Amino acid sequence: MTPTATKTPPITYARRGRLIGCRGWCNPQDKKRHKSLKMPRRSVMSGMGVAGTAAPLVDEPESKLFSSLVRQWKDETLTLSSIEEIALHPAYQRIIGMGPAVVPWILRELEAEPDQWFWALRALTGEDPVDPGARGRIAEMSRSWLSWARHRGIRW
Amino acid sequence: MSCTITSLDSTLYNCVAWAAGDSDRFWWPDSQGIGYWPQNAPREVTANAFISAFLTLGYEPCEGGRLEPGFEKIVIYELHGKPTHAARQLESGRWTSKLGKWVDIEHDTPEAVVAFPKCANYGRPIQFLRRQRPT
Repeated sequence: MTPTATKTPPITYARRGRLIGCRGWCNPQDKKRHKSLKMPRRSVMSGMGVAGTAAPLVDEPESKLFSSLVRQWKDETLTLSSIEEIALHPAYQRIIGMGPAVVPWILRELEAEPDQWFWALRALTGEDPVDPGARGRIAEMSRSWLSWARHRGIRW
Repeated sequence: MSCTITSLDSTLYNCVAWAAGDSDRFWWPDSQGIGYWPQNAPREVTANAFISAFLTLGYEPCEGGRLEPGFEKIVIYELHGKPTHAARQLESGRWTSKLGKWVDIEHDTPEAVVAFPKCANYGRPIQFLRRQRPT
């Protein structure tokens, strides 16, 4: 399925105000309306983290927390081949738990280095633009997601 | 006993792909349909599914990892009842492994890979398979 073939309306998240101001993740029509709004800082509740992890737990700017979790995830899943183990890693799950606002950041990671971000993207967007014939082809799957995002007007 | 790094790191393929001779795809029978898995093999993370995947490539179960001229062998690893890793025997008798999303290495024995940094969670070899070595 090509990204344009999907019937889901583009970025309904932004209409609900959940992703406003997050690196262009909004409908182009909404851009002007939401231009003045900024991504709020969000406190991550103490105790939600994973014991023994290096990721900060409280009052961390979202982007810094995201970067920290990405580093931890990449480092601790480096030698894994199991997609389940890679995706169920606590840092990866915390990234998913940050919500759809992190999708542009994930796309940026994916563009810089194709990696196992597909599970998170599917969980966060409810979509899967990857052709079944491309299963396992990481570079091609990454291109499909980036193309899907461009068609949706998502910037990263 | 020695291990040698033989490639740059790559997120594009993993151990099962490398054992199968494929460096273009990430092989895994995940429930989400993200990884590649042969159509005729069960899409489940079990030793039987891994054996079935290699059967589709012409492999057959065999005893042990000693070098047999004319045959190419692979080995499947397991930890806590779940497959974790696969390696392929080279014509020299050494073994080659792709370490997840990291590098390829060569190791003297199937067991030696577990001593490599961050690879202790591969567990132990549980099944060897062989096929006529492609010419």
